[in-house]
Amino acid sequence: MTFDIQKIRNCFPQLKSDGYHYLDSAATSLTPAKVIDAVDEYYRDYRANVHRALFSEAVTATDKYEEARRKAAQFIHAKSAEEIIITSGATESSNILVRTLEESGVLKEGGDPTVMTERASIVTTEMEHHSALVPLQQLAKRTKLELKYIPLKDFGLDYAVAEKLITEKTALVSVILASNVTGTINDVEKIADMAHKVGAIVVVDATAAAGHVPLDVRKLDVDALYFSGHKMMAPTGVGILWVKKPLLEKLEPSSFGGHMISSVEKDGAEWAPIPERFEAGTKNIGGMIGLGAAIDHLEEVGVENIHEYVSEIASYAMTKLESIPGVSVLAEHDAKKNAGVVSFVCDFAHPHDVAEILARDRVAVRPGHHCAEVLHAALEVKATTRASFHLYNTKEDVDALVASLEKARAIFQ
Amino acid sequence: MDPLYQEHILEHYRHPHNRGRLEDFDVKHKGVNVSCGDDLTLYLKWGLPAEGSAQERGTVLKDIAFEGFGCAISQSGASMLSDKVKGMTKEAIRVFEPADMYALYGTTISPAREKCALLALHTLKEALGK
Repeated sequence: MTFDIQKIRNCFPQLKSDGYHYLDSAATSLTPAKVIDAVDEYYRDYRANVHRALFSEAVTATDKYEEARRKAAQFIHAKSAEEIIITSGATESSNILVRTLEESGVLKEGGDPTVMTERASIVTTEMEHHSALVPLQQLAKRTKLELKYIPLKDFGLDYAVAEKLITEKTALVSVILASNVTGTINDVEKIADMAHKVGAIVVVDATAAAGHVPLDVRKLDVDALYFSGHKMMAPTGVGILWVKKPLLEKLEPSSFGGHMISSVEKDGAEWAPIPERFEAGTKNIGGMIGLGAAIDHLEEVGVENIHEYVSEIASYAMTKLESIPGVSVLAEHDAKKNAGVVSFVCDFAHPHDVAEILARDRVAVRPGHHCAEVLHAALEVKATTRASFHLYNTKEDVDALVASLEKARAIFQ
Repeated sequence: MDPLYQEHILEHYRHPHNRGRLEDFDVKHKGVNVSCGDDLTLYLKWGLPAEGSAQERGTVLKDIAFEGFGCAISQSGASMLSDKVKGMTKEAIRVFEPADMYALYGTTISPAREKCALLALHTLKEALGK
């Protein structure tokens, strides 16, 4: 397909000024006008709370909201929209999931009740974002399950070690699909296969992957997967938690209130059907409608096409960055296996100083540990500068990054 | 000249003063910039004033050293501040304000870099209570 970059860039109002190089999509993506319009329309024309009310705005709001849920289901090839829980983002998804798995008692028997062993460990990776990792650490403390880490091998995972760590004692395996630091797209199918052989539950953080890697929960063959809307063109404050129906039906809600009940009496309450029983309170309705529009936008271009286009930019960036003396790229070098994230360190300057110089040239990057301190420790650095790419970036953005980095080198060397 | 990375700041960054650790110290205190993960460890040695009453005994900062990982702003700040406070009384350090710290930089520090610029001062203030 021909990738009409100018047409794509025109969809993003924030890119209308010349000389602006937004290379921070891994933190949050830009928003296409179509998404802004969808949200705007909700607030202007038919703002109402969803479900039950009979006036026409409430009916429209419910239709659009539920339509967005169906789009999210299709986006990840879920069997049905019943498996889609609307959350505030990946962090809430991860917290809800961990709590409900714990409180429903399914961790002790693992995902497969026919494999009855004493589950004693949780397996995750050194690559996780804090949103996945910290809830797991807390879970491990509460349940006395041991938290084990699949180590890095180069910029990917060490699958040979994973094979040893995932045993019949493993209750849960939680793995990130694409790293928000190294860009590495992990072989989640392989990990899921190892986990299911021993009856463990498999959870996937797809936040950095969403919009870059086609998501197919059936092909991945996992039990739960989550992501945020705001890294895939939707507004902030909305996200998705998908849980496979047979597992979801076994789970108890961990958050209580309105909307998640079917009836409440003085001595207790009955839960609403799935997925509503996991959706206490009023959700980010406008945000969810925006997420639906974001999915439309991504699918119009095609996630495969985005990946192919972004890979080329990432590959160009890695080559250019490595040609600068003192710069080391800490990212998956096989661009086909990289979700558009290129982190690097400069021996001449700290990431904060690099980002400051770059910001003056309107090159927007992010310095720091990117909510992945364990990964940075494994890479033996405190912090990195991260350039992340999406469908609206160009090689000119990379050239601006490189030119600005040369300025930083001149100042600090 | 760069508006932020002025020559004296870069000089302190490239060749920091009082960098390292003290073998003989009274206080060791670590400060962290939570926004970026940078850290700074201060070593303080309190001593007797050269002159003055017995009440002031032990209230002069005789020696100071720092180590840690950070950007040019936080590291040069630690270097400049350590020069400035060496020999000062505890009371004088107590009233040393962020504005005094900015004066050492002698340039405008943007809100985004405030935490970097004040890391050394905040760590020192915390260390006073130890």
